[in-house]
Amino acid sequence: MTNVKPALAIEIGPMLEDIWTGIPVFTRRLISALTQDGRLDLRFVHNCIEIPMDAVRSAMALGAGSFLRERYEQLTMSERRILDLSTPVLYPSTKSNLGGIYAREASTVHDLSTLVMPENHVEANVAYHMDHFEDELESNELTFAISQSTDAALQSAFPNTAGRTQLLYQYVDWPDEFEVLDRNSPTIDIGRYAVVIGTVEPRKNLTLLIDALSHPDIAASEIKFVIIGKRGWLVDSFLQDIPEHLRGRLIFSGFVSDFIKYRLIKAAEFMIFPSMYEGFGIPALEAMSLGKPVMAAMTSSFPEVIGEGGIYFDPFSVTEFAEAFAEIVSPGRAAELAAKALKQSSIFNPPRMAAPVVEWVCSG
Amino acid sequence: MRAARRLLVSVPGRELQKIRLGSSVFPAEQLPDDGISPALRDAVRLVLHHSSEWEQPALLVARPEIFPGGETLSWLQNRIPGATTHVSISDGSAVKLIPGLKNHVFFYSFGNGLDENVLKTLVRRTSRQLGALRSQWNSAYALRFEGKNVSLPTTALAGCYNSRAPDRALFKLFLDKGNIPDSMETISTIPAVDPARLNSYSPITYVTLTHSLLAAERFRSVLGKVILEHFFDESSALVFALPEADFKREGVTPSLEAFLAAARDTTFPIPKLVANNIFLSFGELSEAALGALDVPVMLWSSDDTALWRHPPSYYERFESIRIYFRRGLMREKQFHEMAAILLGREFELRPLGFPAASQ
Repeated sequence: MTNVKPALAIEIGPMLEDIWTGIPVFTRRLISALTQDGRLDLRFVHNCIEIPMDAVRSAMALGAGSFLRERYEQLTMSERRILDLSTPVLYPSTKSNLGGIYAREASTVHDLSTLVMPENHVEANVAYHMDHFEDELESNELTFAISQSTDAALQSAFPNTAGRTQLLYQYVDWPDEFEVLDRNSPTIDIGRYAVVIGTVEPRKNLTLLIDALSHPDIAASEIKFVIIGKRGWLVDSFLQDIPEHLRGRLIFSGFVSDFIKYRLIKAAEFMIFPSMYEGFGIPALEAMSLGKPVMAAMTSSFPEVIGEGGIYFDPFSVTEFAEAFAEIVSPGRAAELAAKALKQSSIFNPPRMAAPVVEWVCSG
Repeated sequence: MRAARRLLVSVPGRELQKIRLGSSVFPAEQLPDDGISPALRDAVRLVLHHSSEWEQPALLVARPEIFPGGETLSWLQNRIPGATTHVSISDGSAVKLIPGLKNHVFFYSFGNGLDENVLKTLVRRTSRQLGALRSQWNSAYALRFEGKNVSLPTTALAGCYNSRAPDRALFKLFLDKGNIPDSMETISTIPAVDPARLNSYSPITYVTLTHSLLAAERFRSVLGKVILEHFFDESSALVFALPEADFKREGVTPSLEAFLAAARDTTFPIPKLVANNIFLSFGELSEAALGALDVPVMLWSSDDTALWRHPPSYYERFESIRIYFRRGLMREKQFHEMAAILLGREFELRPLGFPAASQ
């Protein structure tokens, strides 16, 4: 007797983007995790049309969506097949429609910053995410949240989701070749440094680091700060207030490739993540997977993701930031934290990501 | 030993963007006045006054939304021992809830049509969240929830300080219905008048305006009629306090433009003449200017005016008070009971009727 696997269709809309960061990468990890798990018959869909598996696999190998989009647009009429409405469908992000098309639907909530921090978003973005959000949740059999923090925010704002949510933790999957390539590349020669995440948006809270540069303990340290990401206007205005010699401690990398990010993190002593709000905070996990502890603001998802692999501070307190800094740079503590960081990162893995999805599909 | 009871206060994130804070939680009286709007400053002062009366020192939580649950919430709870109540001072764009506490909301910046629209949008998006609130402070909005209007109880907190209105000169009204820019230019070139001059008129009708009121179609007829009446009775005076500038509408021009547009859109004819007894003030008259008047003054205001920005003693000076009530947004009985506490005296509540379908 043939053992028929239950089917699941993933809505691959996010993967049609040219450059994969954030949600497209999350989608890729989800598909990889479910493929490794092997218990489901995976299908791919966009706007009700089934997408050939080989097209999705090619895009995953490439790490970009332009060819996938082209393939989707060039499907001939005879190649276009409507997905069977009885197939459970998982949206890796919010639905681009009102939902309720398929018999069983689930979508994924990454964060609620457009609802709880509307001042950090343009109204059109808030409207896109929130105008039909309540309807979307209603049409879900299950809603996945990417962290307990997001789940708590979701249930606070939409109490009717209680009992109908499940966690969907992602993981880090650096390409295997990065380690070898890094070993064969010239050393990054900028002295001791920490990598810092976040520049452009006010909620990334880089101004705390800039304020902290003048704190005596940090001013006296030789540690530099390599900031991954674009340098925003807000940063420029705050930089004007600090002395020239301290400004030299900040190095802005601009937008970097995954490999450069890997190298910058690997050569750093630790990561600083001062953000006020994150749905998950994948860069923290990336750092820990390379044995780097994280100095993070005590906010949103950080404690559940970083666990004992880091040190926390009040996101508004320069004093607490300086205390955390002093702790993380002390040699004995740094080694202890590095070991814990590595261990903590290992609990976020493909089987853990696949499990709740498989459980949902099989429950129907 | 049980910790002393404390009141938690949060404010809109946009109000904190120009301020550098030293901590996520700090005594609310340490919120700096510079960098926040005058309306928020007054709202915080009011809350501080009442928290002191309730013997519940107020702590400000800068960003409650970043502590949604789990360890972050425990961390916050360790820093707020004794807290049982939280008030989210809101501009309508978001209402913050702290799990485990009794949450209330204080819409502090209304009177601006934009803010009410923002609130309507929020209610549409997250009506269930607002259903978790215990009460609304100093407002009586009817919230649409699952297809029906739900009344969130009102907590009325009477004002305790006079809003710090500066001394302002008065400008005479001139309106050419066919040319608003020219009307504005003319008004600015006519010599301004000292408020003390108002003592040569009797009585004085003092009308405090909001953007929402000016946008209300039914109020425009009231406006046109009262302006016309004063053209024919130069012994009395009419003073309009135009809406103050705020975050979204910088400077005085938008207020004057909105006022002239509302007056233009009435069906009443307005003589194309400089009115010697109809005055415009860019914001409310100062306490000193009102105190110097020894002629009868009648106050006309509206349901979206922040009545709490003055103590009941402020309202004693008026010969009479009339509040225009825009139906459909607030609950009339609930508003009436609240206004009676905020004003501390009798007043007339005059409904404006439902807006026309086209509005």
